[in-house]
Amino acid sequence: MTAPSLPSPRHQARVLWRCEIRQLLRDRRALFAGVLLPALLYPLLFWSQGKVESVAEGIMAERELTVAMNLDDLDAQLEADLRAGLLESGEVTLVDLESAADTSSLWEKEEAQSTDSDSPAPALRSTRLDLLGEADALLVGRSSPDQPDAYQFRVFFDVQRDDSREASSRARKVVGALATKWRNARLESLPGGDPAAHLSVESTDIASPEDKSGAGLGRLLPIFSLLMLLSGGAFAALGAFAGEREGKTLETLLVQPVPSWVVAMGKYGAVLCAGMATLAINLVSLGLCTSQGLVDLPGLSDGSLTLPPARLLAALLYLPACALIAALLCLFCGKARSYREGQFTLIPVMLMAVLPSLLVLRPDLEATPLLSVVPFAGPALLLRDGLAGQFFLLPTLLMLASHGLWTWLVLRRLTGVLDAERILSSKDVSAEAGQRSLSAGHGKAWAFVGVLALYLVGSRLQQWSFTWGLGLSLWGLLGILTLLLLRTRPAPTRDVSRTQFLSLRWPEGTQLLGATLLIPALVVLMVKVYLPFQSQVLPLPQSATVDAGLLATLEALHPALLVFLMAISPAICEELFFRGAVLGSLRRGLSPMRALLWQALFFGAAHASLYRIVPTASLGLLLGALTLRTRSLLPAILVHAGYNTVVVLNSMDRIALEGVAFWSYGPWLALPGVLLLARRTPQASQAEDN
Amino acid sequence: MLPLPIRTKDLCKTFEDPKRGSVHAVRDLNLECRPGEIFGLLGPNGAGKTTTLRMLSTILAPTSGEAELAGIRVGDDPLGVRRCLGFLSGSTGLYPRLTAREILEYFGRLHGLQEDFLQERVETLLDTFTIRPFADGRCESLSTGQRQRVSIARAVLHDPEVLILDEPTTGLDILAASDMIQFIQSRKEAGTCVLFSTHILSEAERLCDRIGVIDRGRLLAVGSLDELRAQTGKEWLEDVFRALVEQADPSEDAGEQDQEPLATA
Repeated sequence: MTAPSLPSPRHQARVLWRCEIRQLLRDRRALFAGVLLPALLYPLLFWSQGKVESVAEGIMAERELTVAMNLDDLDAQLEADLRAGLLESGEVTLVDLESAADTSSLWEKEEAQSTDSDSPAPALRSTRLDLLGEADALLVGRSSPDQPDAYQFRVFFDVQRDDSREASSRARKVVGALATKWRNARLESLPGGDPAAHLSVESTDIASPEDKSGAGLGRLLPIFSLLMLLSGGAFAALGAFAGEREGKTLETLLVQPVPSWVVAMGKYGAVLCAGMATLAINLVSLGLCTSQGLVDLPGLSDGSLTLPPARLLAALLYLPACALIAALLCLFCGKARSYREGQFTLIPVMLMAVLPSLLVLRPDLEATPLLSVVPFAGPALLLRDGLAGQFFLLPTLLMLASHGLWTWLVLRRLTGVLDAERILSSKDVSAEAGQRSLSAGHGKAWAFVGVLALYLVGSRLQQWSFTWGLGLSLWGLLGILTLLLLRTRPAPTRDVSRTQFLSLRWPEGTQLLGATLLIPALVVLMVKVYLPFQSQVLPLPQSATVDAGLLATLEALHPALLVFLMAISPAICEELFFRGAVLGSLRRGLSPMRALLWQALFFGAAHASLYRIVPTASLGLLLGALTLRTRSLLPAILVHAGYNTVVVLNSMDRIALEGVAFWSYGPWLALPGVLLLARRTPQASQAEDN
Repeated sequence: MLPLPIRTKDLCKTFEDPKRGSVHAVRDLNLECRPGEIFGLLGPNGAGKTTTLRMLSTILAPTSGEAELAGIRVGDDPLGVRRCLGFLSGSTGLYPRLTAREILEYFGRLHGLQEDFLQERVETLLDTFTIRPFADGRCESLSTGQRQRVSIARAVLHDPEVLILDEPTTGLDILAASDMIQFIQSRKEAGTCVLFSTHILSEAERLCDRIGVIDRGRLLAVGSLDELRAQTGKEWLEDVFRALVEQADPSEDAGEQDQEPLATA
């Protein structure tokens, strides 16, 4: 038989896409979650909420209530007005309190109480309860002791009882209405009328209704869209990847004449479509609810969409984020070995996408070029500003390019995940895997212990005395932890010598040089690029900046001691623990990338500050990579010490980065540095058999 | 001369394991299967059967050596290899929410069959494997035997020159297994080369033109049943197999048994 010509990848991707969509449309759960639920959910939710509220109001208004009162102190006209008002406000029974003396003593007690403390004395509590008795509320009035012809009222009620709350609100309303009436009458009788009228102020919003509703909608739409995309796309992604693996159909698919990138694209297309469809249905449902007046949403209020259709084109700016989230869903579900495992990966995806999007809630943040490349934050900010009628060309272009790149990278990774060899190898849960996980678990456990010890013991020590505490926690605490970790190594790594386990060996001279050349670039990247960026997104609160006492202590130190304490000691001790002991355990149990990420995470966490976790974790990543690359701890120690020295001295104003030629040109040294490190050394090729 | 349907030369697969170093799942495998031949790969669990078949069907990349299907080297043109290959393993699943007909159409389209030819072919297969009565019901409601027939039809949909079956009768009941055996025999008449792996001796005895005995990654002997009997002087295949394993000098790889890291699913 003559073989038919191989179909084009596009045709194959379309066939795959159709197959996925068809399966999805036949999946009752997916349809329910993606279509039926949103179509019914919002109308039902908002309608029933409104209904229940109005019913509740109606019921409360019809309640028969008892209001006890003591108004003997008031003038007769006022008392009559109050009584009439209360009787008009609904079914109210008025009961006159007899013991006028008690009431006035209560009043005095209350006044003493309010100046003393918040929690009432037991005696006062019992007096209140006695006076309130069976009634729902107690209204007490008296003429003011300070001012003639003025009256004061107090309403006692019990917040736990519906009737009591209602009675109190009726009483307050009646008194309030009387007060307004009085006030107006007084104002009219004044010569010259209302004095406030001479200095009246009124604010007029000059923003067009479109701008107002656009800005409101812009804060809401990015996060809402993400959640909808996630809920709709998740079903599709789980079915297309994890479900296929669990149903044992993936192996069949992979022996078809279809390149794995085509499989990835076909399935990705289906996931994207499912997510977008869910989003569209949700938006339409929400829009209909708003236009029917069931719910009041910013930007969609007044029962109609006040945004001109052209403004809605800004929604297109969010498409790159939709594409990225669908790709991430595919990647995470593609890695999962089963449906169940896939479901657990959804939370990290959600956090990854929603957290950066929360930036839209900061009105002062604009879509700067730097922010626009941050995944999800860029499109969210641009969408918000776009709906509010602002359009920034450069950030938009950067956002489109960068998100295209992120999506492409994720999809490329997905293609790698679908690579047949890896899929089948991941089934391997054999004895060796168990042995390896022992080592990995050991590393993680000790890293966790280290982080906790630094939190609990290290921070106490440093509060007691900064210099001695820091020295003790580095040399003492981390030193002991390193030794303990070495001593408790599990069986698989026990026969590795200590120096080999900790990567304590001389690196190649060229590698040492290469590592050193990285320092200026690292410093400049952190001090001049990253920190200003972070201070924009997540500014340091006042309390987190270095306090004056500590600064004075540090100022008093001899520079050599300062460098020893803040740069050399951390470099040696932290490297020994994190890059030596912890990474030594992790890399014998995990893939290099995972080992790197875990130790960087622990290293970042050990610095115990939300504001430092990103810089320290990325520093940890680099130092870990250096250690793995050079198979030696020394380059990491060197870079860490050098970096800390410059940063510490700079923050103490001992050396300047601005205006010094070295710091403008120094970063370029990183290029030869990276080249030196990337060079294949004879040792490395030897060690590969190891 | 037409290229051989299956040919391997010094084929090796080594899995790298961080702890135990290299695990040799398949070593220096030389195999030739002829057109219209049913070739059985016989060996205990963990002998390297699945790894061999997966290398031949481009799921795994060989560590060294060559493997050719219909004259195409698996490393050079995996897509080309897959086009002339029908692959089926005992654990293959079907899409639960698609019907048998839709599954056949789906895989036919992925293979690039023309639409009218595809319809014709699907109709033929529905009859050949008596799928028609349940062809339009969802696969989730099919019995094991019915599923198996759909899977077979899927594997031969594009009329492949070579069929590779990985333990095709594992997990099947007696009826479905005998259906499968009949199917393999029917392929011989169609002139297809069938390579299948099994650890069930009676299956191999009944079906195979030639048998390859594989143990611990090495091909110990190849030949028809009679040739193997002559070689070992034993009558029953069980004894033949045992004799061959013992001949292969067990001391050499002591302690390296059951080291195939890819457990057969």
